[in-house]
Amino acid sequence: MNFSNQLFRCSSLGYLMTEPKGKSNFEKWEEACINLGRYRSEYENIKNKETKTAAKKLEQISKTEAEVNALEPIRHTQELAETVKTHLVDVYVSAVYGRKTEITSKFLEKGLMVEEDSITLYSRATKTFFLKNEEHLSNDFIMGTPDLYTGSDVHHADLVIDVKSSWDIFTYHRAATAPMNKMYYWQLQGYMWLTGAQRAKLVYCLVNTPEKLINDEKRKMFYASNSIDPDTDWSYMEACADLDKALTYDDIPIDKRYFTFEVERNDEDLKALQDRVIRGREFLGQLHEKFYPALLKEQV
Amino acid sequence: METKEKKKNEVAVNGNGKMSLKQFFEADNVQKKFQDMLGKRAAGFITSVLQICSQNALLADADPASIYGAAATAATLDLPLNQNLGFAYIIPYNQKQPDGTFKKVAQFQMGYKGFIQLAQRSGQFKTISSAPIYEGQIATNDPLKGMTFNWEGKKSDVVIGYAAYFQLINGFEKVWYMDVDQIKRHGQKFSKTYANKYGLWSTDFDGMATKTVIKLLLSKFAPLTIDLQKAVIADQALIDENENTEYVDHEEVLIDPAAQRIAAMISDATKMEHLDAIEEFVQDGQLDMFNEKKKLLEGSK
Repeated sequence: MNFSNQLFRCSSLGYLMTEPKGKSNFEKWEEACINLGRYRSEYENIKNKETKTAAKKLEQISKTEAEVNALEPIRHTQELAETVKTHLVDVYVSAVYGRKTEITSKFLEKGLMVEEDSITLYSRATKTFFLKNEEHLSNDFIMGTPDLYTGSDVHHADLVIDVKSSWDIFTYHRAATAPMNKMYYWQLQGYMWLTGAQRAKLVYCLVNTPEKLINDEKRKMFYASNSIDPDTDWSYMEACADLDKALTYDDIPIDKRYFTFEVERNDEDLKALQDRVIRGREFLGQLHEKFYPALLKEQV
Repeated sequence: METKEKKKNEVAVNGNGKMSLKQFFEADNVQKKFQDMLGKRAAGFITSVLQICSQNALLADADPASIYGAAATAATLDLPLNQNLGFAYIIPYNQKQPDGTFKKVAQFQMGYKGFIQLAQRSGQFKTISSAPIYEGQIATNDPLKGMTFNWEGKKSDVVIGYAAYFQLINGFEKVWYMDVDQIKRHGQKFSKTYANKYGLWSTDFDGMATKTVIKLLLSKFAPLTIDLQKAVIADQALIDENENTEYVDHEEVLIDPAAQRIAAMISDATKMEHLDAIEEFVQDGQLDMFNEKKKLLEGSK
């Protein structure tokens, strides 16, 4: 299997671009060099080189020199974060074994079910008719299907838009009062790369939860309660009414049910993304080597 | 007068060659069916059905077979279809077809008085009744024994819910109560025409709410005769000539999200610019709605 042409989905570029915690190899090398210079200078200032202090300083210099020598060849390479490696392992397994990692949740399910409702809400609120884009795009590095765009066509877009449907009014307001999720930043950069757009918007919408999902929640509530008959247990019925109110929003004006983040295209970040895709492909190749060494030997 | 005459003629003669409603009901097999069910009252019953349809432009255009199905059900249950009596109704409904077009069909719908009538006829009920419940009238709410009411405790004319009650000859009795929000949600869930300004939920909310509590009370707790079972099943159903029921009013209908979006945006429009922005996307079936809105906005300048 050849991973040199592996394309990465825009929706998961955020995982690929996660930076490791702690210092980079270059920062560590730089710090070691500075320390080395300092220790050598301190050693020179010791008048009696026969003392234990001098001996210890020499030991410290030796240790730091080894550190600098070890870091020098890799100072410009970045160790992949564990999150990135985990994601690449998932990509590898999906590619080789045809399995998917997506965990279905009520949040994802709602997002899929109300996609068109959210686009309708946004269209109504902005007085602009949007049609969901169905065309899948790709280039030599990434692939994806942006939700909406403006412009002559999706390959020559002015603006690309991704729509998110909040689970409920609480998660909606939490998202509105927090910085934009970095994962979505990379997703939008990816879409701008694919469509040629210079601007992107992330639109959060608050739309009614489908009845099926509300009923699922009611069912869970019923099983968790000690109720015998859902049709005659008034406390359960009241709780169901509260749930209906918590998950439906027709009483809220549509202009209060969406908000946006705006992102400009960043070609430097896209270059970094490109480099990371190449690193990712190398890592996938290493994984394949690890799991299928015999296969690779046969191929050679 | 001219309009009513025209409508009568339209019911009698269908210019596109399809059998008109009058012709349909004049067919020998249809006449025999109603005579078997109603005897001498058959002719009068058929006349009442044709009259109802001639007075309703939507029913006049509805599929004759569906009107026949609804009428036959009413006849089987021996319930009059006179709208003013409130026992049973024939309601027009726009049913989406597999090819995306719409077809007007007639839906049979029970009135609350119809359910009470059938319950009384069964001979098993000592009493059956229903009432709107006003603020202050709920006395106790026992999850096991049910609700009790203090009829003297009315605080205002605000209706907070509806209750139905029956007592059987064997002594068994039951109350079923739903507050207004529960009833509205029931209507929204089970009737796609809930929001339709011509639908019974809009024109007669009291009647539909009363029917809802009675129907649920009976279907959950009462011994149902064959007629009551048939009434419960047939309520809000499209009934074909073989008495098969299909629930057009709350079946899943495939919708075109883009068309719905346009319709909503036409409805929302408050300025000509709003309509201009969406004009190129308006679908053929929405042109009337679009042009009507355009006229309205032009007229309000």
